[in-house]
Amino acid sequence: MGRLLFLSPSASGPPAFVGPLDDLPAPAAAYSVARRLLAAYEGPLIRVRRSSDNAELDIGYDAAGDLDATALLTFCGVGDGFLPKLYDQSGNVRDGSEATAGNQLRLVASGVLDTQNSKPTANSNFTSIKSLDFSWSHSGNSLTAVAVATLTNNGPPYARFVSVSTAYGAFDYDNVSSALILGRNGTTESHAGYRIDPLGAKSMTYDVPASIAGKFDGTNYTAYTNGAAGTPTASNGNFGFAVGRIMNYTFSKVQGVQGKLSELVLWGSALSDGNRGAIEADQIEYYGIVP
Amino acid sequence: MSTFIPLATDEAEKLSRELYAIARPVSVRDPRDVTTHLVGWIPRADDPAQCVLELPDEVVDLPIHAQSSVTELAKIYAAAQTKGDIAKSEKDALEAVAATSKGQAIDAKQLLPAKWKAEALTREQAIADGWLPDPEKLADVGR
Repeated sequence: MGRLLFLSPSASGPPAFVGPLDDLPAPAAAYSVARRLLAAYEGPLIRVRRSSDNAELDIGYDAAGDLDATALLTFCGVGDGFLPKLYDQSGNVRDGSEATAGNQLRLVASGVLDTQNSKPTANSNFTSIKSLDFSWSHSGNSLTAVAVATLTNNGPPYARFVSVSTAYGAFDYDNVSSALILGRNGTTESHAGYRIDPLGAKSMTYDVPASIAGKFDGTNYTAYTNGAAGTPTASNGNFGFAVGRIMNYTFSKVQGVQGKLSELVLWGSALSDGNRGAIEADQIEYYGIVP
Repeated sequence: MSTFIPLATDEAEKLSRELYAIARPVSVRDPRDVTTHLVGWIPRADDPAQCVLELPDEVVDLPIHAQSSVTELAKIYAAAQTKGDIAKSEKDALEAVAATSKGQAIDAKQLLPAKWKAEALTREQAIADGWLPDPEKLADVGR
């Protein structure tokens, strides 16, 4: 449920919606297949393509701010639904999109919603090619990413939940000008950030939804799972990127992470512990995550 | 899992686009529609003009639209015939499958030349032959 707040007694009309990001610094990009994140955002959450005839439709949210699952399932019928577009709710129009049907994350399987702890999710459906691309030019030396995700143990090592780079196809290990923000840490049951080497790894349990975060503060990268921090690890090199890819690697689409993603919020700065903790706590509550 | 068909990148892009077009003709698409291609292709890192077309092992459902046209797909088959990848009899047969399946769903693999399917590589083969980057080596570079 989105948080509802009665700002003042009102003779008529519904209470004003307050999103989980409304009290935090403005994000660079905010994506969710499950809910509205900001009161100022009134557009659709997702665009869905159904398998029966490949028609597409924008899907919004209900009065509580939750994905309009009824509209989604009605549109998909007994078939599957896929994700050609994940709308950016930040107002910066950094929508994630994928024009190739076979590379689109799945939202509905045979008329049944894909979920994490009963909340809607985008499912990589156990292949490593799924992705969504977005544009974001960022030259600052810090950033924060917070996501609700599940990692499975049958994908490639070093797979990416979200990565950024100077360009698609650019090899970030060579130019050290970009970074994977959140990714699988080799073949281990953990996630990490990357700037040449895996940084600040933090464990996450396979097949269990978690709030995962990564933060560069200009000096160190720190990974978080359900609010608990890994060891801050020094990073180096110039920073700056222009493009991003969700659930895959900007260099090549062969390193897609296998699992699920319901929500991803990006900031072009290092969030304070208090602000990061606030969104993590909200995700833990909303998604029923057991820390 | 998937297999990977080595093709010229422009050839793979056209094939993927035209396969999707017979399922969802441009004439019936909404201007806001995002999807334009059926299956993905991954260029070689050392030669982006070459790529592998990714072909899932499972059925790739292709509901062929009643208003679809096979004209552009036929051009791809004609080019494959010129290249020596298919005989005229197979070219004609592939066109016939597309033309007579309107209003029905078929496996997209039925619309691929037999030679291309026979040359499909496993993921491991594609990595060993340099078509796909090795995830382990990607992670090791720069250390």
